[in-house]
Amino acid sequence: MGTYLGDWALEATLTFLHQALDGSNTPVDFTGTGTYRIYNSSGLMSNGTGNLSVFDDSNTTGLYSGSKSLAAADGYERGQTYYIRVQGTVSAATRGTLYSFTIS
Amino acid sequence: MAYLGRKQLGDEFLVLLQCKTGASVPTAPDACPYLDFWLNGTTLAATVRMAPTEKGKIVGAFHYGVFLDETFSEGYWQAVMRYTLSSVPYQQVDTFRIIPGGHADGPIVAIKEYRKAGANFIVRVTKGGKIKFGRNPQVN
Repeated sequence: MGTYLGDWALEATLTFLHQALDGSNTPVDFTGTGTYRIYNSSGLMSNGTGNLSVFDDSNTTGLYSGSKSLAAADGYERGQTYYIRVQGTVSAATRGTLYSFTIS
Repeated sequence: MAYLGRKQLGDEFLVLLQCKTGASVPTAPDACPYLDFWLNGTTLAATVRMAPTEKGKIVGAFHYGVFLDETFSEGYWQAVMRYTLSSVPYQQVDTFRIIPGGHADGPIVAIKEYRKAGANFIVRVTKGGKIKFGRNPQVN
């Protein structure tokens, strides 16, 4: 299911934060760029991919943000649940994390 | 990361943090954690320090009582908690949404009528700590 990010308004800009962790669950920066993909029950959303940006780098370690417009034109609908898979590389190993959100 | 739900201006709630190692062992941080409030992940609205919860009884637990005053506005908020364990930085993020409605002063928690020779007054105290008064109130 993934960590729930809350309910969002249609046409809002979804913003989420992701903490990258190593195998010991200690915050660490990704090697390279972290990415995300947004799905619904039918599969990958239109324009549903993106790259993560470093968030508040001067005060944090391994904290990233992602942002995506929840446009009806891209197939987002009220009452639906969506899933985000974040992926990045830590110490040459691929790590993935799931999030979910709803639109109301 | 936890979703704290929908709020309105004037609401009050707690942000809780359990500091722990990567192996999930509760551990006291090097100093009281910082708590940053970000609006839509782009605007830093406030930074505060969190207070220990039951200091001496619970290891590494902290809290901060949030009152949604004029510092806050409608939108999607991220509460970023930052601390270090033996100089290693850790973060935890909670999120909440402020929806339309409410008031940044909060509800009125006390009210008093004063009758004076020149005018009558209604004095109100809000949950946000503001004292307001109205002159010559009327009931229509």
